[in-house]
Amino acid sequence: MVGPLLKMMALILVVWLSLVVVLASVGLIVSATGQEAGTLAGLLRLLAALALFAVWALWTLMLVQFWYIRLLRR
Amino acid sequence: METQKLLTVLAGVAISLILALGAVRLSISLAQKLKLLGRDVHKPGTVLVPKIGGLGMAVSYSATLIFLSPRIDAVTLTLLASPIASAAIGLSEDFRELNPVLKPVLLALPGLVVLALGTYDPHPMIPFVGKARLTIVYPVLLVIAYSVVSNAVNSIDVVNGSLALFSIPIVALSIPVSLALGAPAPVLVAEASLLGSLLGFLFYNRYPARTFGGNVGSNLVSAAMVTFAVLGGFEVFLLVALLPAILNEAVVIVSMGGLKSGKGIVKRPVLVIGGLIRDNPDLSAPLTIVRMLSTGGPVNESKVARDIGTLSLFSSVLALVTFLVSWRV
Repeated sequence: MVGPLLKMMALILVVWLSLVVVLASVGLIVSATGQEAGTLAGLLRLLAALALFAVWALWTLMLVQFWYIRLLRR
Repeated sequence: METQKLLTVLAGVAISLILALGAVRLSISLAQKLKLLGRDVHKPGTVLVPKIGGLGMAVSYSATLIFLSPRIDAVTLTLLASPIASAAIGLSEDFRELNPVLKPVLLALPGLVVLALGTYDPHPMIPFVGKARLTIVYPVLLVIAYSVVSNAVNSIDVVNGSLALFSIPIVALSIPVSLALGAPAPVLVAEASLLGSLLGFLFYNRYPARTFGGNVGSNLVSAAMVTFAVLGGFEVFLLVALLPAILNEAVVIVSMGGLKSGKGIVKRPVLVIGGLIRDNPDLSAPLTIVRMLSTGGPVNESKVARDIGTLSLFSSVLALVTFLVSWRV
C-alpha cells in the first residue's frame, strides 16, 4: 500500500514536469526577440505568457484538489 | 580558489551554528520575559511555547555574514538588509497580528531593498531556453516573489521542526548551485550562515519544541532564500525547490476563500486526538500539506515534520535536475 508521503511525492513530480514545460514555453514566448521590449508586440507576448502561466496555476490547484479527494483519501 | 570557497562555507556553517545555539537560547529567555508565548496546537492540553526563536537565527545569520565578509559592499548590504527588513516585519507581527490583506503588501517591501541597491540581473535562466531578457517585468516579479515566498514558508511552519527541516535541504543544495554559477562570494557566505543558523534553531525547535520560530523566523528564512536566488541567478531552482510550500499556500488561500488569518478559521484542517494528528473528515475544512500527509491514519507530529523535510529534499533534488538541464543552454 502506497502511503501519503509517496503519493505527495508523485504529485510534486507531476507539478514539476508541467512547470518545466510551462516555464520553457513562457520563456520562448517572452524572449523570442529582444527588440520588441516596449512595443505592442512585446506587450502582447507578455500577456500571452501571463495567461499561459495563469491557466497552469489554475490547473495545478484543481490537480491538488483531485489528488487529495481521489488519491489521498482513498 | 574553490578550496578557499569551500573552507569559507564550512567556517560559515560552523560559526553560525555555534552562534545560533546561544542566540536562540537568549531569544527563548527574552520571549518568556515578554510573555511572547504561543499555544502548541498539536499537543494534548494547553502547552505554551516561547515564539520568537527566529530572532536568534536573525542574530546568528547577520553576525556571521558581517564577520566573514571582507567588506560591506552592495551585495553584502542586500544580503543583510533584505532578510533583516523581512524579519523585522515578522517580529512586529509576533507582537501584534497584522491585517491579513496588508501583510502581503508589507512582505513585498524587502524586495524594494534589492531594487534600490540595484543588485539584481533581469536575465533569469529559463529551462531549455537559456537567459531570458525581462528588464521591465523582472523588478515587478521580484517584489511579488518576496511576498509569495514569505507567505509560503510561513504556511509550512505549522509543526515542530518543520521550518528548519523544510528549509535546510533547499539552502544546502543552493550552495553547490551558487558555486557552479560563480555567484558573488558574499552569497556563499550568507547561504552558509543561514544553513548553520537553521541547524542551531532546529536543536530547539525539533519535537517537542522548546521554541517556535515565529513570523520573525519564517520571514528571515524566506527573504534570505529569495535574496540568494536573485543575487546568485538561480530563480527557477528556488521556484522548483519551494513547490511544496507554494502549493500549500495556494490551496490554503483557495480553500479558505481568500487571504484570512489562520487563527480565525472555524474548521481546523486536522484533528488532534490523543496527541496524534488526523485528517479532518469534514471536506469543507481548509486543505493543507499537514492534512494531506495525515490521510494515511493518525500520525505523530514528529513524523509529519520529517515527511515535510523529505518532500523538501525531493523538490530540491528536482530543482537541482532543473538547474542542470538549464545550465549552459
